[in-house]
Order: sequence, then C-alpha cells, then structure tokens
Amino acid sequence: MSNARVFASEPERMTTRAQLYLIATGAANLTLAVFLFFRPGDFTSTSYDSIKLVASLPVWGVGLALVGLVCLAGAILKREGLARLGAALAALAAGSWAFGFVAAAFIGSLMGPSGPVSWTLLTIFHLLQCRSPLRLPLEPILRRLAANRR
Amino acid sequence: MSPGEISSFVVGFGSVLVGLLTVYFNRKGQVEQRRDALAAAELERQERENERLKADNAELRDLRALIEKYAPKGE
Repeated sequence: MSNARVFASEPERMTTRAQLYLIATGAANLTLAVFLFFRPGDFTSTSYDSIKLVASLPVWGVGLALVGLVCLAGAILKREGLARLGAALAALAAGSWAFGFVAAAFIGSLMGPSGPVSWTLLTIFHLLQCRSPLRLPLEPILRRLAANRR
Repeated sequence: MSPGEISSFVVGFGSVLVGLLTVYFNRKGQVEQRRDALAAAELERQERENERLKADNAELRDLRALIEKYAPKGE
C-alpha cells in the first residue's frame, strides 16, 4: 500500500505521539526558562560562559519561555501552524545553545563534550519535526507496515 | 577577538544556520504534504473510475446474457 493510499484514508490531524512531543518540548523549555529566570546562579559551569556573553540568562529564560508556550499552545489547540512554529522555535533555541557550547570550546571554557552533543541532537530532532509537525518522523513508515499487514 | 565577540559570532552564525534549516525543512514538509494530498486525490479519482468501469462491465455482461438467451437458435 502506497503512502498516498494510507494518507487518503486518514484526515490530516495531529497524532497523539506528535502531541506528546510538543508537550514534552514545551515543558522542557518552560522548566529551563524558570531556572534561567529565577535561579541564574545555579548555572555555575564555565561551559555556559559563551551563552552568558551573548545575552544574560534571564533574557534567555524569557526566550525559552516563549518557545515553551508556543509548543504547548500547538499541542493543546492541535493547530498545524502553531505546531510548525513551535518546532521551528525549539530548533532555533536548541541550535543557539548548541552553538553557544561550541563557542565555549573556542574560548577554552567548555568543561566537557556532553553539552554540545546533546543540544545538537535535540536541534536535529526538532528540525526533523519541522518537516511534518502533525506526526513523528517514523509514524508514516509504521502506518504503511501496518496497512500492508492487514 | 575578545571572548564576547567570538561567542556572539559563533552563536549568531549558528542561529542563522539553524534558522535557514528550519525554513528549508518547513518548506520541504509543506511540499511533501501537498504532494501526498494530490496523490491521494488522484488515487480516489482512479478508484471511482474503476468502480464505474466495473459497473459498466457488469451491465454489458447482463446484456450479452440476455442477447444470447433470446437470440434465434440455429442461425
């Protein structure tokens, strides 16, 4: 069964998995934003030096809070436009932090590789989600397999 | 270059790069979505056409059976 046949039988609506992705992304960004805004002193590692040099941590907190709110709004309202914007903003925020850690390596203040690696991975995942925000990247393949088995 | 300048440059460059990638993936996704929708619509049209042809075929078979039934024998 072709992709088109699978999609033809289903209306374009957000899957539960995609909704969970948006909720998790929104919650993670909001949690980080709360810490950045109310407890910036907790970020003591020198790996954050570059990020702090670009903008103060509370400013980053406000930005990430906005990203989180857009993601949660997309998940609650199940609107494609909001989900697309949320995933794009999440990718932008994660990418900025990933490059912040890379910059820390350039100025010699990076404490370890886990920061840039994990934030780059997050960025890639958000970018993949930008492509089809209504479903997770593997869902069409799984659905096609399920449809062929019927 | 001071650490602040290096940081601003790298983060700025990275943000622009990721921004361009988000635009690319968004556009790619939208194009794929539109293509899938068009393919699905074409498939639906073909299926309808198929059903119509099947119905025509059945009607023709019935007509042929009637002709064979009432055709004069031995000719």
